[in-house]
Amino acid sequence: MTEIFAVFISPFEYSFMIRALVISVCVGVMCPLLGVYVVNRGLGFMGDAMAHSVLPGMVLAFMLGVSPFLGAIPTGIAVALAIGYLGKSFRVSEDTSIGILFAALFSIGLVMISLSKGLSVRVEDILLGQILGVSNTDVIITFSLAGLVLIIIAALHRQLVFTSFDPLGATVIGLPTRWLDYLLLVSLSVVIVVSLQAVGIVLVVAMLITPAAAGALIARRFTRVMASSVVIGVFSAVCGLYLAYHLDIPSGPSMTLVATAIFVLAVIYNQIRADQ
Amino acid sequence: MVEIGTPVSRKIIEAVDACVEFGSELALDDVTFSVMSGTMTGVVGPNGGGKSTLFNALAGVQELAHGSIYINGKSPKHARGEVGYVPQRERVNWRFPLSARDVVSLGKTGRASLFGRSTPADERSIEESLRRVEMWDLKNVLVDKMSGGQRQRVFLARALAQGAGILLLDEAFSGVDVGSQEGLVEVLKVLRDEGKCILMATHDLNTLADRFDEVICLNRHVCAQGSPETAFTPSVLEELYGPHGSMFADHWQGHHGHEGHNPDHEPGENPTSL
Repeated sequence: MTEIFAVFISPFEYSFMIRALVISVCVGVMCPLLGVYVVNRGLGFMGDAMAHSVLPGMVLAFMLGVSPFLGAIPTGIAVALAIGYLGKSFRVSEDTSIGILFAALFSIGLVMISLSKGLSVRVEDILLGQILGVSNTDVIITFSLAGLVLIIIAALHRQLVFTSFDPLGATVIGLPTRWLDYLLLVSLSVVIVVSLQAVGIVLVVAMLITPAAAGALIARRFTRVMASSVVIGVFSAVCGLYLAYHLDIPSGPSMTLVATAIFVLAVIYNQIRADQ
Repeated sequence: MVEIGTPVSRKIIEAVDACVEFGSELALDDVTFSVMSGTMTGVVGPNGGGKSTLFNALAGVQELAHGSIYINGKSPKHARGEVGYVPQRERVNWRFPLSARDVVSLGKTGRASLFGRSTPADERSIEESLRRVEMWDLKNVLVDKMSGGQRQRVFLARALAQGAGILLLDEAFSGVDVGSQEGLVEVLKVLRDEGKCILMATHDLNTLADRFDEVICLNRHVCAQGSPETAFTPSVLEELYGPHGSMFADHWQGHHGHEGHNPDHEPGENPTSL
């Protein structure tokens, strides 16, 4: 019993684990919260593209020796606005324009990594996440940005649901649907950026989609799907953190695998419920 | 003398030379008509004839290139909230897991309604709206699990909760079985009798006379407006549907002329009994 207790408590004798826990909870709450919109609006590809597109900004920040947020957040917001604009304004399909933009930006980031000598961070950590190395400043920035997005999403919950469900009806009633779409994309980009240290560029889409998809299998109505997804997201992130610590593996894959295991259980539960 | 309890009919929609352009193409060309309150009007015309564009313009989401539209004497943008819109089903994201009650509560959404809160008055209005379309018992059922007719009722309830005096229904019968269509028409007739102004885009010429007080025949411009019994002359049908318009000339109530010769109705006669 004492040994089991030690498995859960002993990691928090280290301050880096407390910092990692705060970030894990933020990621576990925020990714599924935006993820339910991503899943229900079919924005998975867009979320993945946004995560890959912030690479040049992050690399630039590392090259300058400043917090990765300072590079990634402006890049993420610019990419979100560009995706929103491209999707509505050109005779190229939204998926195509996103694909071109994200591949180009990700390539620029990889070229920058290749050309830069003595980068203070491992490429593997950028791509797969390394939550155990976050600083106090990172925690403060993550907590503040997550709180801000949480307030925005909660305050505009009904407007965002209306715009996502029936955009024309929302416009008719007088909602600024285009601005709400931009706001959702910018919020998504901020959540993606604050999650990058935990899950990395390659796997952030998993934390956006998998808990939300599992939540949709367990609950039926949107607000309940949202709540279930957040519970699953927090559980996945915190369990993933323990696994990363005890097994000395990158945090991104460990969180993703826990979320995937829960998704598989949700599929089985849903199947059993359907058969009854 | 006006009977007590009967809403006074008044001009509620007026379009004067309304034009909508998409690039160099005219989607609506000098559209002029007016609609009174307490009427149920069918808007008929071919695909691409401008029905949805007209509805968007009436709802204030489509700019006019020229001309004017007045809703209760105001521009559509200033009359937001007075128009309730029941969209075509393919324009709605059915993946969103919302119950009937959730959808109707969206009718209470404004720019200022923050944190998704409903007041007790909102709750009463939502319940009353669902009851009026006979959907209260299904309030917790997800709309994507409902039949086409039930979904249309839920959207109608949303428009009622919004407090709209004008109801625009774009292809509301698309994908709705005949029995459910009749049920929906009965609900709409009650709302019309309460003074609502109802416009519905439809392709079903056979049932116009039964269902609508007036029709507007639209093929980028208004070819005719009037009662279903008088609006469809052969020239109007040809203007609407081209050379194929003549095949509709033999349409009678529940009776297709092209399914067999109708001895009581000679070609070239005015096909007034639609």
